[in-house]
Amino acid sequence: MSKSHNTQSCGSFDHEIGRRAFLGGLTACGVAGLSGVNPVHALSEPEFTKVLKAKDRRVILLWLAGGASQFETFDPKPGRPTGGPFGEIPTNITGVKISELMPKMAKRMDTTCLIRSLSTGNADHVSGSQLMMRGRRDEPNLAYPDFGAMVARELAQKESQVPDYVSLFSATEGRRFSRLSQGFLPGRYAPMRLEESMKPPNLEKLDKISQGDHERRSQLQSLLNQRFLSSRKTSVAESHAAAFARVNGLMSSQKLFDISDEPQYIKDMYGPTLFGQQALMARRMVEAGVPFVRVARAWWDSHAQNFETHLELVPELDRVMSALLDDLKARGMLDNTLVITLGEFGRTPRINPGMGRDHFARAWSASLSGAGVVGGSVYGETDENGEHVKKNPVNAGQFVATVLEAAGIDSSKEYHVGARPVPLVDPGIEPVRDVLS
Amino acid sequence: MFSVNDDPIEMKPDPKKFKIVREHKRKDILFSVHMDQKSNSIFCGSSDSKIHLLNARDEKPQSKALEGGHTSYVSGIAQAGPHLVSGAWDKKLIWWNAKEGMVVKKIDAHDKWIRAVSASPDGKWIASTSDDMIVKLWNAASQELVKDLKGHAVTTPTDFPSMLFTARFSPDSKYLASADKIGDVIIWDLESKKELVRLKAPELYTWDDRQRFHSIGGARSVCFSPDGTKLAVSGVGKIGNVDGLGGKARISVFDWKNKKKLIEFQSGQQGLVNHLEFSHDGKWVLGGGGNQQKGFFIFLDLEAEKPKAIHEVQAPMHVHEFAFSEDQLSLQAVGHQKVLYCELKAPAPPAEKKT
Repeated sequence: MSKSHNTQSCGSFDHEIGRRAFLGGLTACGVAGLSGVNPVHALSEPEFTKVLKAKDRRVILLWLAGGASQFETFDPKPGRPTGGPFGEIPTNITGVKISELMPKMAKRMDTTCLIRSLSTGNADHVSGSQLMMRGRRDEPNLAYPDFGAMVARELAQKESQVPDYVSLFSATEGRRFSRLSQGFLPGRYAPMRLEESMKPPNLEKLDKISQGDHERRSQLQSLLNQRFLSSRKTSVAESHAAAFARVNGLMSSQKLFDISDEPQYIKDMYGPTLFGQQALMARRMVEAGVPFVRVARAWWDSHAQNFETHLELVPELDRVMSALLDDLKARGMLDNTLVITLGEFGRTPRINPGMGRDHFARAWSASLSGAGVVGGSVYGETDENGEHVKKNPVNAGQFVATVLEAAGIDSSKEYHVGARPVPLVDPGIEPVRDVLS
Repeated sequence: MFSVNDDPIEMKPDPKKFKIVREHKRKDILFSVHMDQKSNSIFCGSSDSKIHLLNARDEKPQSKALEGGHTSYVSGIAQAGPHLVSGAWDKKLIWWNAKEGMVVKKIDAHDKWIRAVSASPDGKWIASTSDDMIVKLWNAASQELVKDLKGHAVTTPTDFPSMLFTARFSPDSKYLASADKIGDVIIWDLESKKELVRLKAPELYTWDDRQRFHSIGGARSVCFSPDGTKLAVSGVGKIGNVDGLGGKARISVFDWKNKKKLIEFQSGQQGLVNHLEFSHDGKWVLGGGGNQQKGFFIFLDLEAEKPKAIHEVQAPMHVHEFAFSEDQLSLQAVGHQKVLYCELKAPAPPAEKKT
């Protein structure tokens, strides 16, 4: 049961981005006062290395919406009053044990870093989701971008014809809780939402327009744009032209959103569930150059029957996560793709009368796999009952800074909103360097 | 609270007189119970991985633990001749010398978590059910596996792992009924060791295919009537928000040989009906259960023209299981951090036992 519901849309970029809306958003928002990396600073050697490192990085976020239990995944406490009925199993990293519900991931822990000491202080679905996606709260007069938008901004190729940020969220519960947004960044970095379907709406050309007509219209539009730009070159006009080019790109890359031509053995790896299919689509997207894809698996909010819920959902997560890591590895992409599992919070040590666990943000877990992290490592520790962080607490800001750094992005970088410098994470927030490779 | 009267009084069990007489708090969660009819003490399977022996009838029950057995929640306990047999989420079955509190035999019985253990009334068989979706039939005396009874689907229609919650023998020990998450109930013929009848109770299973993409519910208890002709099946009805147990407690009664549903009862109480027992005269069936806030007892009238409860009582805990005394004048119930002693007779004059 969700404690708080807020399905209000929070502005135009929280709406579905179809082809037409996508186009409109880009042209309207392409003028945000924004500057990127200071050119002088960028030439210094460490920064230059980072830029090179970041060049081909991609990020896939497996968003465990509703809040998965750390006890039944990455921080088991078997035999303790809070531990629940499941056992723990050894992994391929000596001394590291995870829930018996994750036997596949147990064999792949060398790819993965566990953070067992998230202490984020917000156990509300809506504001907790926003906090974990941004690392901080919005200001009254400044909406921050979520880390998907920041990754998109930093890693997108300028001439890319694929989306920079895609969010797949099929369940209706919790869809809007994160309020995914590019904040003050240009509209290009707003998430393309795939919700009712795994394909963007309005992607196909109208039946009454022939392919030849469609191509001739595009050529005419391009010609007119170029003429206009030659005499009136402004950021608005440029954004308009870029938007048209990218929509054309989307229309010609419909196969990106279609997994039917994947080999059967690949589909079998991911499994038959929607989450599996969407994770496979995420792999296709990052392979095609999409810098950030969020795949939401909802809904983990097990206020009753926590163990039955996790019996159902954790084996699915285990299969899908393992398949994704294996698939990326087989394609040589795991070294430059960061895979994150994260929700808005974890679940209580206390088991309630309905055999449920409630919301808990004081001591919980997330995982980082692949690019930029020290595989096989565990950061932080909770006490014997999982009630408190015993060692190395990590807050939401630190977590986001760590994700950015793992993706090859300098988390100390600043954007500018008008004349105001705005850092990617709040001042004083440091990434967890121990987990970064 | 009412006092316990030790004076022997000739009375009949009467659901309308059901009273919770004693309520004992505990730190653990108790999932399973077996009553020793000689002493009226109960063996309780606990979340602390132990079996506790106590008598909830006592004002201050002393709890003695049988240790060194399981390593996870003890989900089922049954008596097999001189032995107590327990099953747990650690996938093990243990035969105990209950008197001595000693382990007689420990078996890696299933590949997944054991949900229930049942003994046949004639003392010959033990049945264990597990999320490996196999009902295992054991020789109670030799502790040997007799047969894997396979027939429950391993996955749900949406390709998620199913769960096999319960199994109970018929009073004549000729049949065994087992029930799973999607509401499939199989009655097994113990002579041929084959599936005899399959009943469907899909209303006990909710799969949310839009809001939350997961499920809740399942057939949690089955019980044969004393004459063996009826089979009661229980759980919770359809649920709008599968984060909780907000559906109506539900009991269905079948003429199982003819695959005919006789009664479909929805209670005003919300939550799972975790355990069922028929009255000796077959006139009512008692269900106990609860949700994430509270528990309940429901006496379902089996003689009424339309499905109705004789009596519904809120319990101060989520009830996981209960066991009647032989005369059904009292029961002891276990559940979430409490044990209850209840009577089904008019309360005796308040003469508190002083010891």
